[in-house]
Amino acid sequence: MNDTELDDIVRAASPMSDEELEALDLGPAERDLFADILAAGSRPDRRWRKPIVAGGAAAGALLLGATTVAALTGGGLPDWVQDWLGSTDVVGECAIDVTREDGVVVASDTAEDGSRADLWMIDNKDGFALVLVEHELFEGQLVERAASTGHCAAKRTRQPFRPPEPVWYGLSSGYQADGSGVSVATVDGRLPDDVTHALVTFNTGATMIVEGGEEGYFVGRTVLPRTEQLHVETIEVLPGGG
Amino acid sequence: MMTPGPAASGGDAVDAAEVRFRRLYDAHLRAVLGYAVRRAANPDDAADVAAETMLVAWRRIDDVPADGGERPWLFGVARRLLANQRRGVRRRSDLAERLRLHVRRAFDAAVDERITSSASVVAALEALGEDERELVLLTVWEGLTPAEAAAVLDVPPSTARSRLQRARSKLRAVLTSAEGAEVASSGHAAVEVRGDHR
Repeated sequence: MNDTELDDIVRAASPMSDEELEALDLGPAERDLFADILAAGSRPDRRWRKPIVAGGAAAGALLLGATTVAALTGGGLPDWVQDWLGSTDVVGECAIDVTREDGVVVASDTAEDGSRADLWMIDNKDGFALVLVEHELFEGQLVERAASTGHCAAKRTRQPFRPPEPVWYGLSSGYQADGSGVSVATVDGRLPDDVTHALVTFNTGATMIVEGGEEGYFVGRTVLPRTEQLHVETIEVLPGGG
Repeated sequence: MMTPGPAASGGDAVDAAEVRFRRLYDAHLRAVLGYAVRRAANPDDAADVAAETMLVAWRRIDDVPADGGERPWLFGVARRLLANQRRGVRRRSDLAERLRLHVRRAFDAAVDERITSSASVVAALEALGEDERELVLLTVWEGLTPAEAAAVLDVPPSTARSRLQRARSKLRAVLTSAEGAEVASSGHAAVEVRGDHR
């Protein structure tokens, strides 16, 4: 068996052939999604920095408890988020030197179960990041459970342009491990100028109204019947919310 | 806090970055998606990785090499994202949702049958070391040269070439051995395997 024959065998085992790849109908619709990003004037990132996975909330919450108390009483950017933004393990980038004073909460929402999501904006000479910090209830107290970036860029300060249509940057969801049979979903994004509210519709048919905060950024958090394949179907200006 | 940076004030620079990104996107999205589909655990993961790879490219457009270095750079990002994805929980994005529809459709059309028919080759590939396997797949599945594959793995080209040669030798030995075993147990099996793969 020579190299060519060997390569032919390996090539035939590919889960998707070049011909099948060429047949994929990728086109303007996908490009349009990036047009929204470009119009927003920022360079977004999706990173899921979850100290614990859905279903293991209690153990992770215990680990984070001490940090949480300090962060909440200090009223600034949590230390561990600050440390994380300064790390370089986000595909070797997004290392931003921040201090607690660099961060401000631009949007916040509390779900029906009392859990909360805060959207932080950090912007300084080293770059900017939009960070979602989720707080869950554990033994009657709110604890930071996870953080993720909606936008992140080193060596670049953000631009103030707002998107022409409501844009959602990310959806995070997980189900409760306590057998309560519910999922908690958090959606963050940004609204156009002069729009105060938008309607988020999930693939299950459930909806959530989100309210724009500082500079149109929003975060919405809600409790839904347990759903393992939750997606955002649409986000549109709420009638009367523009 | 709101001081505009170079990108905000330098309109020409932003336009140039946008033009370059759009070209990059049009030229390489399909290849990035293919790379992810061929390695991810499922179509949804592949769509997420492809979408995030392009987002990283936009964010770091100034760092993307030119003159043919774009695709290896993108594959390198996708590779690290895949490795990270296996360790974490997925956070979904709008683009990933859209790509997911395409990828699922393609999987439905073709993948099940191929996976079944090529199980022995997949097993042989899994017997290789991670870097060896990736070198083989980058050159055969993705069509990269050994030098380009070296850039993805961040190793010198000479190292990539020698590892690739070693990987081919191992792969050949495992497949030949597997064919022999199948002949011993069934007079037809080896013929069927060869027929499926050529």
